[in-house]
Amino acid sequence: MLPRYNRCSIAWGPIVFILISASLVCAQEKAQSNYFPDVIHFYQEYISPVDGDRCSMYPSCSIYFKKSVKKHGLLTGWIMGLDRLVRCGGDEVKNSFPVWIDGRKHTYDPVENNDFWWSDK
Amino acid sequence: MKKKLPVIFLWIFLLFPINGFSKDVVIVDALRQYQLAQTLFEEKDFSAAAYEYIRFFHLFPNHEKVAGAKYQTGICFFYAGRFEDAGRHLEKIASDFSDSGFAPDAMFTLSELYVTTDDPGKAASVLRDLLTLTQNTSVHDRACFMLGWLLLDKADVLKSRSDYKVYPVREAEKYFSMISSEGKKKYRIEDSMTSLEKIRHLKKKSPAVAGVLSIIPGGGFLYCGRYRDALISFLLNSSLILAAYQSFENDNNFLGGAISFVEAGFYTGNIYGSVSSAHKYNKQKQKEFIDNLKQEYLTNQDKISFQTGLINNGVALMFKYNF
Repeated sequence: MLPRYNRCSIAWGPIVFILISASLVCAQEKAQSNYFPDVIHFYQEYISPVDGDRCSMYPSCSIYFKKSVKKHGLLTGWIMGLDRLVRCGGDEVKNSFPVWIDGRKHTYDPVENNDFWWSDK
Repeated sequence: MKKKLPVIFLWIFLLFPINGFSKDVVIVDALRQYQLAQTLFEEKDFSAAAYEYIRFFHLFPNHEKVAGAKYQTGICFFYAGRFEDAGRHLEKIASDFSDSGFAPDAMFTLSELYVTTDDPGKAASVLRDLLTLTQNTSVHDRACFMLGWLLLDKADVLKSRSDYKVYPVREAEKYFSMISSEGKKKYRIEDSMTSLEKIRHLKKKSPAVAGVLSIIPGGGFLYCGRYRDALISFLLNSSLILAAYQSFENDNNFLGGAISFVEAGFYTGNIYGSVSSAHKYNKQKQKEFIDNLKQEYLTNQDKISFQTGLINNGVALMFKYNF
């Protein structure tokens, strides 16, 4: 039985797959880097409330995804976002410091903590 | 006579108030004005004190204490949390009164202000400017000491920002070594310098090795001691690779392509995460080392305090040292 947060990571795979496929089909007329955050917004607005607030990280994986795409463009943001999904609820919990939001413990892991070694932004 | 009577009364009426007020007229001399500002400063009413200092140097622009008053204005604004005003006044002191004894203190305060406003790059830059300007050994030593600790303390922040390109810990070592032998004794920095040399021998993880090992999904995470991440990465990537392979085998090329696309992202993410993990590991080790060094120094040197405060109507800046 995998821990709750690992299930979160694994559950994300098919969701991301569906969303990205949809975005690639629909985003032909629009710059992808602009459109991608809209897809994440769709997830946050319609899927996440049903799926439940299960991400143990702060900012949540969807916000992290959105921010990394906005900061570094679609390709690098996509890679960073998927890397985050793998790390969500994993060893980052013991390596990063915790933050308490609405009485629940989260692990603080912003984009800056993962691009500091190459990005000056 | 009847016509003159109202005029006489008018004169009497006008003269009486003048006589009445004459006892309340206060002539403010420079000393009293300065004392008022000082009193407010001692009472920690910093905003009011700042305005009294401003009144002082506005009313008595040629007084010998003008430089001091302007410096105190900056300090007051700093303590009152009005950092922009404080910065403006302190910069003016440093530039317009560079020959006075207040210029170095103003620059020390300015550097502290930039640390407070989360701009350690500027703080370091101010201290470096001071080092080039000063010929006073005591000020030079103090600036080197403060700059060294600032670079150590804020190494992560400085390294991650574009305004700072040199590796901060190396530069901190350089500034500590620039302290005169008397200064080293005064600040008791020799032990810390010896300890700081050990930073070179910290066990670090190579990002390149982590990247190469992550060719097998999870290998890089494993190298960095992230066992859970390694397991998840391995399972996820191998499952997706297997799923893509099965899809192509079953002539389901669209599904195979779509899974391959997602898998390519996860696989690249695994490499990125491994390299990133190595960097984070090294950063964490360095931070722990510097924190220990600082703690060790402060424990041994409890005479030094990195605080600001008021002493004998004046201000102690950046740190207090009790012999």
